[in-house]
Amino acid sequence: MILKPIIFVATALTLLILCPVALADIPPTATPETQGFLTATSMSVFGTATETDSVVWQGSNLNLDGTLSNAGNILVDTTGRAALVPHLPVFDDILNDTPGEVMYTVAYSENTIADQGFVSYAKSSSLDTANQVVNTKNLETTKLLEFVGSETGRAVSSEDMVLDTAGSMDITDEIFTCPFAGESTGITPEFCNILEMGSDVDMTIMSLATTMSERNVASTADVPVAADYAIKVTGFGDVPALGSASASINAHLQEGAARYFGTYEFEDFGDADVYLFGKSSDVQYSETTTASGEITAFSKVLSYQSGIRRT
Amino acid sequence: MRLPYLLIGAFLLALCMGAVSAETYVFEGATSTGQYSGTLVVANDGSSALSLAAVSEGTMSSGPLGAPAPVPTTIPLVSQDILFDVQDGQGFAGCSVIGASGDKASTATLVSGTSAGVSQEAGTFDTSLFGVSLAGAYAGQEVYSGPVGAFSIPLSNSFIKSASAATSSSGDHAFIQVNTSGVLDLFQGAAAGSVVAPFDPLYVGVNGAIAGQMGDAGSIPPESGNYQISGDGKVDASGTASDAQGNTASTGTQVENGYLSFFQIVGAGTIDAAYDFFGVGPSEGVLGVNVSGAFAAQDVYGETAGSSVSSVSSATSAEGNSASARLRTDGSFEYTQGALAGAASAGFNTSSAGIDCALAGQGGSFETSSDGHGMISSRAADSNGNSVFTDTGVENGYLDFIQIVGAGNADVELDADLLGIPGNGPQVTGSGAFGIQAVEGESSDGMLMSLTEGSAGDNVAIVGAGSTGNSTGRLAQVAVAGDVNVDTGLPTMDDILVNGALAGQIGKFQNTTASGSTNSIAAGFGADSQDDMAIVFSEVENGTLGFAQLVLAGSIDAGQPGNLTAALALQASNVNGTAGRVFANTQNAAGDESSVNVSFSNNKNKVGWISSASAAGAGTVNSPLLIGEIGSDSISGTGAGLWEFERDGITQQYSMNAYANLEGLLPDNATRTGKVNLHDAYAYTGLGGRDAEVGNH
Repeated sequence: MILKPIIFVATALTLLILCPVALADIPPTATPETQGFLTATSMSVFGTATETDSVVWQGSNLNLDGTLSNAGNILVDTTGRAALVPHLPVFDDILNDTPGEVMYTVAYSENTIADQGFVSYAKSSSLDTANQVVNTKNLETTKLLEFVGSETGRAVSSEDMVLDTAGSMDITDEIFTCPFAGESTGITPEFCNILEMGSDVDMTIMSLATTMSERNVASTADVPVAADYAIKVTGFGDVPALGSASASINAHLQEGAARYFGTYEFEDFGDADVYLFGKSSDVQYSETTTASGEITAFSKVLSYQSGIRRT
Repeated sequence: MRLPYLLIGAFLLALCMGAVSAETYVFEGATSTGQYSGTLVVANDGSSALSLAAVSEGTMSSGPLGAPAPVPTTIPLVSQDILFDVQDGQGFAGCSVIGASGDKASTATLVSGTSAGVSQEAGTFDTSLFGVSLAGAYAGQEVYSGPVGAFSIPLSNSFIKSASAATSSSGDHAFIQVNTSGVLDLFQGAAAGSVVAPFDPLYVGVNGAIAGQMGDAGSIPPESGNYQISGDGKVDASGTASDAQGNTASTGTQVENGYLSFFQIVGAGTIDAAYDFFGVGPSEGVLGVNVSGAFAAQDVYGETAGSSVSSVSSATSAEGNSASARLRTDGSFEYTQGALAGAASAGFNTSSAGIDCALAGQGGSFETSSDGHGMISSRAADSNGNSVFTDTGVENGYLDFIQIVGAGNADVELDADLLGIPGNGPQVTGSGAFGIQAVEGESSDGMLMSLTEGSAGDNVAIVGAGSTGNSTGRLAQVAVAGDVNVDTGLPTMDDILVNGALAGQIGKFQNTTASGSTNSIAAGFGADSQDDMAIVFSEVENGTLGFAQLVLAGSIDAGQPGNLTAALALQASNVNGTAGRVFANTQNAAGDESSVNVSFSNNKNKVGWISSASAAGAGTVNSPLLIGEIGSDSISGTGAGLWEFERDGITQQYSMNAYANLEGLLPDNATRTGKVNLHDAYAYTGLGGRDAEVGNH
């Protein structure tokens, strides 16, 4: 008897929560005018079905010019290794309250082709560029795909989500509502984080469910940046799914650290807080899970949060 | 002005020993409304320094003096020399330093609506000279503006404000500042640090902070060659200091519309000294001394254009003793003023002594404007409620003066074994306040008046003297108030408690013109805690008044030997004028009163005079050991007397009587009145066999 290869991926759970103390993404605030998309798709087909989705969302809390600007009330030295926050006369006049700039790119795509078989496809997608709170997201998708192919039928579906953020330093107390946030750091340091999550399936028979969501815009920095992705592949009853499935996450997270150096007093006038900076964290994370053959269950959950005050 | 700055800078640079490495961070940039620059120097020994400068609606450029010192890369030293031209905006420049041991110093200037040059420097020092270690931080600056060279005359709404401060690692703090709407030529600095001299068996450690400034400010100074007192010449120059134990001192002068030349210095710190007599260790045979305190002093001169100058120096000790000296006038002035507060303690084995006090004083001269006023006033109060004040005011005249006031607590506890006496060691505690002033002045159709008071609880002693019209005056006044508690430590001897106040004065008033009316008076008043009161005064019209007066009020409680409560006033005076009077009066709470009064009133063209001494007193004595007859009763009474040395007047209306009312030697509710007549020389006590006959009675 020839044993059929049975690959059983019971549950692969990855929770990626990368956030060193005092180092984290700072979500920018929304533009004054915001937009929202909401789509719902449903198909039941015997034959061929395709779905192609693409979202690219770029933004900045200042100018989308490719250059990060420091907060208007922080002086940065010529080497970028030290910063001053003066609480002094004249400086109050010539500096401004412009926040530290945060730029972001959110990209999502899906390509699905199901051919020569029975196809049941349902998907909902929403994009809201407004400020979010800790339990809401800017971009969300949910997809269900059931496919039973003929002898030559196949279904291929891939999803890919990218969250790319970079920000300059800002004064913690001015961007947080939480009064205790400043205890961890007086200045939020620079950061540059990119995260990619997604999956690929190539099946002749399967029941596929995926969810994706991300949050990168909020009114204050109290709300952490977040991204979640989950995939589950099963068969039907005792019939396993047949084909190959993979899910992956790749991240490169670079964080600076603001070390409070001291306060220089100019008595009767005010003082100046000094911070020294440096790149203090560089994380490269990669994880890929694949399954091929008769797949009884394939599941992967990916979760990402980045913020000073995480939930 | 620049010379001392460079000298001090060079000296301090010489102290910067050790080749510590440092990192330098440079800040520079511009915004739509201004520009800024700065330098942060961080040394690997833990010290660091920061310089910052910014300008809005104006320009800042390198000053003509050049940087006072190069910025080295191996020590945490920052400096900058900036010329501000901010007719429509403001400019700020400051240097701040933090030493490796935590000493801090800073200096800064804010310029608004004018042009000014600012040269600043901040750094640390850490060295050893002849075994003495010095470490700390300093900051200093020179600021100059005015109608010379490139500098314009300040606009009406302009100002320059400069301040320097230092804080030692142990918490001693010194701060000094000047703020003027006129021109400014200033040298200012502050330093904090420590000095350690470990010369076995002697150890001395000093930790403290100091700040000082000198310069000219306000209206255009005479050095410009165009001296004038006009426009806005407001000046506020002041400094404060406080040590880690809570002693504080401050000094300051404000000028409205005038010119001020000033030197001010403040400081605070702690001195610890120990001497090991036997070299056996820290617990035995070691004399330890600890002194901590704060001081503030100023020396000023200048002139106001009919506006005012006011100065105050004050100090408060950690235990609540306080002293202050104030001055206010409206003309030209030149004086020195200061205050200090502190504590000192010494211990040897189980013997110890300690003192906590505050002192203030001032001396100099001023001249009021025409029909103007001037006043000096000093106050002191200890933490037990004893207080003194001494004041002098002058109207339309001038005054030379010196005033000193103080208040404090002291205690001494001696080791009985060391003294070879039984029981506990003797202990003496005392608390009190004192004040003294000496003045000489002249008034033209105005007034000259001095008043000094000492108050110890309900015991009060006051002396005052004044003259109106055209006169000169010269006098000295003193007041002391306090309490002393002596615990002998002997089981057979009660504590001795003394509580009281004393005031005295000596002086002379003299009219300066034959025409016009001049009145002079000198008076003393005392009241004790049981409402015994005594008063003396002498007065003269259109003549000369010489006087010496002393007032006492208080109590002495020695327990078993007895106690005394009394108020007493004494005077000797020489009254010489067209009219005069000498008066002494006393009364007690029971209503007994004694009085003497001598006066004369002549025609304007004739002069009379009296040279006399008089006294008035009231009180109670309870001393069964010394006066066995009174048992548990007491003797109370009043008395007043006068002795004429010489008299030469038209009239012969005079009194030379003295009266006494004695109680306590008789059964309850029985009283007798005694009479003493010095003129006829007899005495009658009212007690039968206790009558006394003197002379030809």
